[in-house]
Amino acid sequence: MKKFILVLLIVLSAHLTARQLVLFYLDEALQPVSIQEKVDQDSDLVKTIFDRLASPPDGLKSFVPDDVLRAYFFVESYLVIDLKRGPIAMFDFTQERFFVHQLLRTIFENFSGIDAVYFLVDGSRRDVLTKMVDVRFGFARHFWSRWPVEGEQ
Amino acid sequence: MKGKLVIIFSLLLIHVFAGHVYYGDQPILVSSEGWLLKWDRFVGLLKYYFELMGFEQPTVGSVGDFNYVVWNGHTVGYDSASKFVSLDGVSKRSEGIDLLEALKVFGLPFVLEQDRLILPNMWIHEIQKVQDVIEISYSGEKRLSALQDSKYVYLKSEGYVFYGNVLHRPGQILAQFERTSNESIKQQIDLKGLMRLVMGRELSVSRVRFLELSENAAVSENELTVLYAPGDNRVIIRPYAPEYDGADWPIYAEVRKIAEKLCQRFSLKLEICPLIVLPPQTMTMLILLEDQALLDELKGFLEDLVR
Repeated sequence: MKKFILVLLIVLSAHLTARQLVLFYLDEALQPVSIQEKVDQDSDLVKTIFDRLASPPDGLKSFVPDDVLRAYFFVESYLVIDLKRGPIAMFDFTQERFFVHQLLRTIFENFSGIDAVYFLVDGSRRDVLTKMVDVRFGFARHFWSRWPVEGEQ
Repeated sequence: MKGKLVIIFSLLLIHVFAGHVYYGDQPILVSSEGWLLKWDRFVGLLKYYFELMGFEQPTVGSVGDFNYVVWNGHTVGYDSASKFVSLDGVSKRSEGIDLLEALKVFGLPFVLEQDRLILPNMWIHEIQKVQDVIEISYSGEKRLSALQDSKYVYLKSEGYVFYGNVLHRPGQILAQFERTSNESIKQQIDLKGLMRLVMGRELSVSRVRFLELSENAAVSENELTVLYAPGDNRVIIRPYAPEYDGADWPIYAEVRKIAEKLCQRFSLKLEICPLIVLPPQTMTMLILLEDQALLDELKGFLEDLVR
């Protein structure tokens, strides 16, 4: 009985100290699929998001490559994400857009205090992420607090 | 009575021969010794001015009787025993610090107006126009106004403003930007050390232009520019950006309204994504189509819509 209570307490405390993350992956038709996962309250949430997005569950896709996060920092209500150029350099047009959509949709879902996200590449401000997506300006919560593609079948 | 007269005359003489140092239009030092300052007064003035401007404070130190102040890679020193002043290593005998020479050594601009030495109260580091935003980064106080006529947007000095190696007096124009048609100042945003002017255009499109997607696709005003490329049946439009503080909402709303109608009519998806080929505050969209034969029909629909 004592053992049972002890196990119960451990499970309960693990549950209480865990945080729920909502991660967005894509199906074959590039429709968003949200998955809830628990992470430790003390874990680095931004890094965890990148790591988990880079390892999609079976049957789902992700456009977030491995080891793409270089650094990140919060400035008031903004999140600045510094990306490594290497893993995104060869993105095609679709990959580039859906990388941004998938990442921003997940970030805004999990950080309610963030109003906008900015991207740096290899520590510098750039005009484009790789070829087409303009990263000179901030990405506002309004557009990525829902999936930014409408009229999906 | 004689005593009073002496005091009054003395004060009068001090006032007549005194040097007045101004921070823009505010007096910050009255010096009875003209521009030859005692070391402590000189250092005090420097530190106070740097504090007002928000500059990094100078390094102040002493070795024996030799006192020195270092700022921005330049050194002014004074030996109180031998009464030698050192300006970036060049020494000469002096009863104090010649303020004019010392300011020149530090590269600090000033103007002399009769007995007044005026230091800038605004120091502009950079003025740049990125797309439809004019950004001015500065130290000190915001002493700048923006005005426009039919051809230009002007930045006018409202104080003593240092920009481009020139110290501008109040009322002087220090920069101007040509206004492209229909462009005007929509909003002024003031942050600490940063002034931002958001330009906007009036919406008046009446024509539609279709262009194949390329990096150099030129967007013209007064037209709805539709870029097209092969793809999975979607219309991509640019979102508004936080930097524009609402000034780009009207164009976003107008583009979105047209894109929504197009998507409805031709069963296309609508995607929001800031593409470099869709410049901010322009009536532009990108259409990705499986069947390029639909283009003429799309064009006809859009032409009817904007007519």
